[in-house]
Amino acid sequence: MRATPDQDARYLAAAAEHGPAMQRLASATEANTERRRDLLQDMHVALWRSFASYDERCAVRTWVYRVAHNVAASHVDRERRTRAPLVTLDEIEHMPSSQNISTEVEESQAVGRLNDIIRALGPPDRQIITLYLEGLDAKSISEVTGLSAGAIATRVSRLKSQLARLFQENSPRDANV
Amino acid sequence: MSDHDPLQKLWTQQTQEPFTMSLADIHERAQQFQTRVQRRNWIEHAASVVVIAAFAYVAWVVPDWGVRVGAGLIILGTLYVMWKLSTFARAATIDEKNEARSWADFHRAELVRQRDVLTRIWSWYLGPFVPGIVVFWFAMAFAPSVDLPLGARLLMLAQNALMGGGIFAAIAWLNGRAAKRLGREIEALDRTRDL
Repeated sequence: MRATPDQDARYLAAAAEHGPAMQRLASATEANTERRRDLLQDMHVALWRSFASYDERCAVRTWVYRVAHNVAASHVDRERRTRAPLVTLDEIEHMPSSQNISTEVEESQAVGRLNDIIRALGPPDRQIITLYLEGLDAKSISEVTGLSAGAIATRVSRLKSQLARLFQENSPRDANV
Repeated sequence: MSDHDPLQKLWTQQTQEPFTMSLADIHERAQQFQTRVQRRNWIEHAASVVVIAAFAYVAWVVPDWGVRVGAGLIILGTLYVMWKLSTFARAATIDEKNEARSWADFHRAELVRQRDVLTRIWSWYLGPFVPGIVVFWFAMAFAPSVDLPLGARLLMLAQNALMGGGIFAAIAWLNGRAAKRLGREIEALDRTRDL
């Protein structure tokens, strides 16, 4: 595969700006450390490869999130035969926490719990909630996912309140994070 | 959306494991990916070559024209399946432009591709072997060189048909079930997009 200077430069700039978001997406997709690292590497390679055909018809941020989410979706698709079945957020409310709730006050554990919840979600809730947590608005999430902005706004509102309630119910002291 | 959502703050400020990947690493891994795809294609072709060689040998050593025709048809069927496999492999090869499509477009295209491969299993995978296998069974059951009464020959044919037919039916049923599941996922995705 021959790289063009533009491709390398675009990749480096995008990775510098959006690398942490890609890493957060990998954490919310794969719990196993080694497979998570592989997934993250796959995301970076796919992003570099994709810049060979970047046509500037959408913002770099939208492009990066599309590539990263598509790689993550393919990863979940490959792994789902050996994983627990995906559920909706309504069903998660009835799932017992796998951790000791009293220790979830620590930030890392709260992040771990958040990742656990997101990993158990099916599409498109997983995509929508991770993009929302990155701070994207409904229109931007719509550009990445291809779903209508109206549908996104409705789902975000529902997911947000259910997620917040889950956190309050399971770890009351996380309210001040 | 709110800038003050505590979950957004928790999410974006989370501590992350150290991760670095240089351009050289990226180039190397992209090359490894291409090599892996090529190796997988070669393994599939090598398996087909083994089948072709085995039936070519049978056609060469067995002096029965029915067996030879059956073996020849199985070889033709294998060549057809090899060609279809390479077509599907090309269709599944990651395309840079496709990778940057919206998630719904990308996900739907992938589900449709997988469903179509499974739905058409008879036309591209099982069906091409049927003429050769049937001729082969008949040739073996009614070979003039084997001294058997008609009843025993028919029984041999029926046993082969039942066993082979059962295996084919099981493969078709399992693939059909998986195709239906993918169909339901496509419908669910379309319903979400129509909202």
